[in-house]
Amino acid sequence: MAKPESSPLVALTGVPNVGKTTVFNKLTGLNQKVGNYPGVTVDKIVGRMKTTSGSIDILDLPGTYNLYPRSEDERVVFRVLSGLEPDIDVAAVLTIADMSNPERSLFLVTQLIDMGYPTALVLNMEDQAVKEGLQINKILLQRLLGIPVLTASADKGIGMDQIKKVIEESGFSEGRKVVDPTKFCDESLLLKVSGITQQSNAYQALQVLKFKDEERQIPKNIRERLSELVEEYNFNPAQVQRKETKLRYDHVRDILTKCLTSPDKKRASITRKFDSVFLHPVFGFGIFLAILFLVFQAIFAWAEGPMDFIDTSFAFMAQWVSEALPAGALTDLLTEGIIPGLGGIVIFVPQIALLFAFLSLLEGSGYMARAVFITDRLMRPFGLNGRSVVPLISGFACAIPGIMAARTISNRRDRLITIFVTPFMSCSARLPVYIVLVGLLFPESESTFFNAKGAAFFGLYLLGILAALVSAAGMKAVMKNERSGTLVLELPRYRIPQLQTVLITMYEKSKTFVFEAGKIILAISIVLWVLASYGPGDSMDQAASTVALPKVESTEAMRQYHTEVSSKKIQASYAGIVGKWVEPVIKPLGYDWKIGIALICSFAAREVFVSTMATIYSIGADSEDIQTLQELLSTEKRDDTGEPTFNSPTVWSLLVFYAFAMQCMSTIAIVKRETKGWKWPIIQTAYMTALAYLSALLVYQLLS
Amino acid sequence: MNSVTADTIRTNQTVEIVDLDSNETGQRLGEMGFWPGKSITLVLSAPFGDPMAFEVDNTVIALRKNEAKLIKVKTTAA
Repeated sequence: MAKPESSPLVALTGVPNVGKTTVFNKLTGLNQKVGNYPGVTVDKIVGRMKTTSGSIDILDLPGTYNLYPRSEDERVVFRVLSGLEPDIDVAAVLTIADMSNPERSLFLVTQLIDMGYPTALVLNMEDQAVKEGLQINKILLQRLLGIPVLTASADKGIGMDQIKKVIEESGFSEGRKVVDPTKFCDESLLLKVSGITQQSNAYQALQVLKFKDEERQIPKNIRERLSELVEEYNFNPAQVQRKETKLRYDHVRDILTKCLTSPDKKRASITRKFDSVFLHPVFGFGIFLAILFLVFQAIFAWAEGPMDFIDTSFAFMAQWVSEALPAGALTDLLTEGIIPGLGGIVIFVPQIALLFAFLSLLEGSGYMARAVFITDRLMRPFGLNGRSVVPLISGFACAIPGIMAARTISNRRDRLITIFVTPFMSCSARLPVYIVLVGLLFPESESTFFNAKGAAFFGLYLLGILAALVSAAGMKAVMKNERSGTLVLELPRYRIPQLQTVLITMYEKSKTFVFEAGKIILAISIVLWVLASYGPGDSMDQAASTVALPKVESTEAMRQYHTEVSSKKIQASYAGIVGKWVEPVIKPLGYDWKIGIALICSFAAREVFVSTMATIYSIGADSEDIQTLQELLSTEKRDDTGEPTFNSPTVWSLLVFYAFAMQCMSTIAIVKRETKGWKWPIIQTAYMTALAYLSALLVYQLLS
Repeated sequence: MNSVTADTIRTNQTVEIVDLDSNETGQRLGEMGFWPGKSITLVLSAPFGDPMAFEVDNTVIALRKNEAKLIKVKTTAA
């Protein structure tokens, strides 16, 4: 029996913007599984289609124009279809084309046929083609290609039954081969290649030979043997590639002259009209900024309600559990470690879901490509490209969905730079920290139209943007050897986005975050909880016993007593010890060991700074009153010198530190997930922490 | 007959491709439809004239100026 992973499946292919995802979603609905291909960041998406007798697995391959492995998406398609992914057994290929634009799709179709797979072609968007007065002789096309040809308008659900029937009854057939590989090189060479790489098909063997150097998936010893063959037969990949491309174009043109009757009038005039507005040198930017503002509002303001709800629900749950279970270490772990940890993961879901709803709408409507088009030139000096704009702007609300959105950047270097610098944008979690600290700086400031507080906030946001752009430019200089990006971007026709696609995107992205980044976040939050709740031996109990019980046990006095106990306890905990231990390191920045504790605890998330300060300065965990905290902090004196702890150099130094430091384990977890390894999150955290430390040091030393 | 590179043509001007650079980007452009013999039209340019959007095979494809430079074209007789 074959393992379930390697059971034969139907691969779905097509050039971009032909409605392939719509077809896939209509076939499989929510029965989708997102996995990984080894060595690349492209998601492997397998869906299950229900049939009358059981089910068939469908693999949704990324959209590509051809089967040459140049981008990551293309590499995945190349590998899967050249038999280089041992776990994937492709039984047949269903390929989707835009019926109103068959020229672009047929190149890929001829390659699929030459690969030897049983294939079927779906001409999608039939309604559009009919509207434009375009006619295709389906029967002749079927005969010339030698594969079944179907028509459909997938977004209206038309033609889906026939597609299902072809898959269910395996109505695919091997087509008429277009290019004879032996025209380019000796048959004996191809036979030898097949002998080495186990290719059953001559064109697959030729493909592997042409792209052996692009393909890290091929083991080194095999690549060496292929190189020897290349030498021996004097094989020139570039020349062969050129000849092959020409043959395919001639063939496609020949087929189209025979089957296609296109109207004389210019097509897609609606798209032209929209473009004259959306890509207008002045209005275009205005519209783009308005859309960004809307997206930003959504993840900042609209997400607030659901986030508050999640916050209170988890607090309520913790409360309920602590009352329902007997007191003890296990209950504490649940109510103070695990439940808040889970809450800290789920809290990001509204922002992620909302951002991806917008991205999916923008992508589905065709606008996204236009946004890239108008911003590409502006982003280029920083080693970024047009596709970096949306991740960076989302970073103002939260870096996590922004980093996830960087997936649309196909160039590896540009994508890494975008991921690297997005956490510098001032996210919403920095806001509570800024509010408390800026309030300390300008306590008397009146809320007039323009005031010092507002200017300080603006300066902090600007500082984040500046750090992002300068770091990006620096990385561009360092990563000179990486292949620099090309744009080559199709501006598709404007279309009405599919609601189903939007909903599935929101669901899949949220699920990915909760289950993949969630594991790491939960683990770190438990570690941090242990650090803050336990101390060596009975040091915490001893510290607690130094607080005298109030003589009159009034509610007010008892509350005061309990907050003082928690303050003493956290000071005696491991976190307190670490705080004292790092004091020599942070002293040059103007911080004492109490601030050290808050820095360590806010590694979980920046906003924890506020609640930790509240605990350390015994304001009481239930007090969310920022005013009280500010008053207390401003009267706090240093243990050693007796000077005010929060003088303006220290506060500025803290502000700069929080603007730059990577104090968000959720971001680290998602960077690890998106870059498929610990290398980049570690470099990023080290860089951001170093920058934060040095800048804070500079600020403190200059001001004091 | 004038042979120029595609980045120099005017908006709405239609030209025929005569040659492509043989480097990798050039090959890629060829596979995307920019093939000798085909005609292309400059549909519009982004602010600062870069990137540029060309129509080829009834599809609009945006290229950076540097990429458009790799395409040699001749102006078709009106």
